[in-house]
Amino acid sequence: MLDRDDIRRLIPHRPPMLLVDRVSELVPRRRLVGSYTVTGPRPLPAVLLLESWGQAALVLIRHDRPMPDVLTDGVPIAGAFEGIRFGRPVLPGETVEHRVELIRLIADTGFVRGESVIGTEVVMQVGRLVGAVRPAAALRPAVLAGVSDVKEST
Amino acid sequence: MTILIPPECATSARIDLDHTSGDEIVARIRPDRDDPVFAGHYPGFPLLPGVYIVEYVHRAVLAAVPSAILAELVSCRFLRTIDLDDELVVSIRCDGGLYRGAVAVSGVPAAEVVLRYQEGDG
Repeated sequence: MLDRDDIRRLIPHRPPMLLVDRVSELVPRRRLVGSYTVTGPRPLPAVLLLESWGQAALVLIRHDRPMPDVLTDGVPIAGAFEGIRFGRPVLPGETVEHRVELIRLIADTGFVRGESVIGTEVVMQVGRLVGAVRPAAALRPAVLAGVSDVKEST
Repeated sequence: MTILIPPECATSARIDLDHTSGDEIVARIRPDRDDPVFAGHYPGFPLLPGVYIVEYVHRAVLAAVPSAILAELVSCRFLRTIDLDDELVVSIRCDGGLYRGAVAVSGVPAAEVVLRYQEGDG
């Protein structure tokens, strides 16, 4: 339902750090299924698999409020990761599917969880990722305003 | 020309092991301003990706324990942004199979990263 050009209109990441190719399912404010195909000559480093998943999560959070330019729309930043379990590496040519579930959204801070799979094989589990959006002017060189200290009220 | 190949991820950063002794690893890391990742993260506003901090801690562990295979990013908290000119000091303590990394810039805590490796490698 969303291709790479659509995704570029929603999030500010650009090659070589745009790591989501397609979104096949999106239930607003609830969940998303996206995918990325490894085009490079080597396996995808584990942390880039996590980055790719995080970008898919950002599409879920911001699909109705596009943020293609960090200077005018704000900067997405990671606040915290918890329980990120890695399986086997994602190899060149393989397409990994990201499944993202929105736990909670408080102002510009999102709490998400999910997994990445290849076929039926889970290659990464994401216990929880906390991400936020901050104005560009506030980030440099300011201390992050306690992003990781935001508590999830359940 | 558009480059579609993902970055090697932090491989060009300079990582110097200060010392490893028993259950402690200390490394100094300088990000590479010329890393192509900054063209896309983000245009006009180069910002060190948070996952790079995790990768730096992982690489410091690998420098001391080359056979280690990452199994889990148990937790990570980012406490402040890091400038591309900053030197990061990573102090890692091995604690019951977990590697607890404290990342600091000029003595100020910037991130806390806890990693777990596959059994027999950590």
